[in-house]
Amino acid sequence: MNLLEDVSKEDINSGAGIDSSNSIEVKDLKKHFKGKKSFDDVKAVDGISFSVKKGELFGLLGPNGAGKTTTINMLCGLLKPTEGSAIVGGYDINENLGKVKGLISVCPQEAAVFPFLSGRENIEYFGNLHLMKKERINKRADELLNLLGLFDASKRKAKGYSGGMLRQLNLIVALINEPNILFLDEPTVGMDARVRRKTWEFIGSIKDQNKTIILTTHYIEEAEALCDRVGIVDFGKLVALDTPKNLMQKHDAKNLEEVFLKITGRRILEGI
Amino acid sequence: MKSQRILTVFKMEMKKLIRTPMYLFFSLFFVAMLVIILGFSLGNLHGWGPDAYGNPRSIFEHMVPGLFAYAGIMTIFTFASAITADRDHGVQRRMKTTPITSGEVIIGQMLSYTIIPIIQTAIILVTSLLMGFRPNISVLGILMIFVFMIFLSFCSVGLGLITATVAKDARAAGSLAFIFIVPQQLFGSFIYMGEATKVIGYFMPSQYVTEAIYRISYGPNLTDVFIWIDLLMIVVISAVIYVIGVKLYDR
Repeated sequence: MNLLEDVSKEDINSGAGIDSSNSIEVKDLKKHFKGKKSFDDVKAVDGISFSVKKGELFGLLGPNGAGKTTTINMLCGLLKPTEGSAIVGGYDINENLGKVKGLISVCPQEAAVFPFLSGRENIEYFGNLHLMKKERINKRADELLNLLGLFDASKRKAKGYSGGMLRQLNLIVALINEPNILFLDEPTVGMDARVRRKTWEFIGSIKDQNKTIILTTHYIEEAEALCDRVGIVDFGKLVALDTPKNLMQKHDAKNLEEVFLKITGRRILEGI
Repeated sequence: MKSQRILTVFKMEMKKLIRTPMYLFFSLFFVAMLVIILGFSLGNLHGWGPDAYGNPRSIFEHMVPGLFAYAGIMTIFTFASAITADRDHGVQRRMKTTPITSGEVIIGQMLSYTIIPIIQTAIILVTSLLMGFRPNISVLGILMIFVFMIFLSFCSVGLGLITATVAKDARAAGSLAFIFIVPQQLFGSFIYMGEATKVIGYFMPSQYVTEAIYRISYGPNLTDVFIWIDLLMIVVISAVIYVIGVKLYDR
């Protein structure tokens, strides 16, 4: 039995087809990295297709090195796909990347902020890159800083922030431009349980504003709590795609973590 | 091209310089300190004889034109360290997901690296005048020194970009920068290496700046054709190195 085909047939329910209600449409996206020798070549993403509806919170799960971040990096213009195409916010990433960048925002894995700027200055900096008006930046910064409890620390330089505070600032910076489509790449890594829960609530509130969110995470319970649908990526391929509830039912599992282990663990054991 | 974005990058670069003590020290104060030390120690010694125009000069005065260039060379270190630190923090990748274009980033950086050599030059000029530097110079001559220093700054930014391309992190960039700094320091700044090595100097961008500032400071006037040849050389070298730096770093 070809397990990969079997998993794909059973577990991939792409939900919406390609239509105007979709915010993101990914078609046979591939990213291959060439090594110095042919055996060093890596198929980081190997023909992924899925679509994300407007206002949907879509989770990308997978073990380390599965291809989640590479997929996001292609969708936000950091990497050029080797093959395939993707429409983000109505624009092709291969042809209209500039337009795509005006609609999206990315919260990267690392706290990507300037350490010598204060929290507020970092927010203002990225607001200015999106050509926001000063008054709008200030209003939005106040809102976000208050919501995430970072207001009092906002005048301090970011280099003095704790790991958790940096992660929160990282998220605020990603939200300053009120993006229609938001990529959250492991946004709660390094946060303590209390702050993580608060951030989950916050991410949920963004979704309620009809924003499209793609979330990658290692915390399976995070995906289960937040995501409308999840895609499980392994070895650069999409091996499962459905709502957390449907995936649990299909795999007769108590929670999404069990589904994740069944799918990715089985593939590891069978050497695929 | 949006001026708001260019201005934002410019302001950030200036804040980076002012708020990072290491960059501030190496960009603005290190050479000024050197000027003070050399002024005190060599200001009354005349072992190198008169200048090329026959006027008596102390060893310190012979060195001053090269000290200006040395300050410009140090920009390689500060820029390479700073840009690699931005890369290490992931902010450069983040910026690439925003609508800012590489052209806007480049212009913003060039603006800040126009202001920095102006401040550098002003500090060194004042310090060296206080320590006994006595040039025969007009206001136009002083402006010309600023122009040379701005082009040397662009050249150093280009060399900083090349350094950052090969350096794995900010610390490595700081060390690697000296591959470009030391030869220019030895063969194209304030250190007198003798006539035999003079030809090597012509492969060093800083040599053209040192030579031109020497001619501007001690020569009769700005009609000296070699000043304009030096200007042409530093403009061409800066443009070539800057373009190579941007291309390599973008890759």
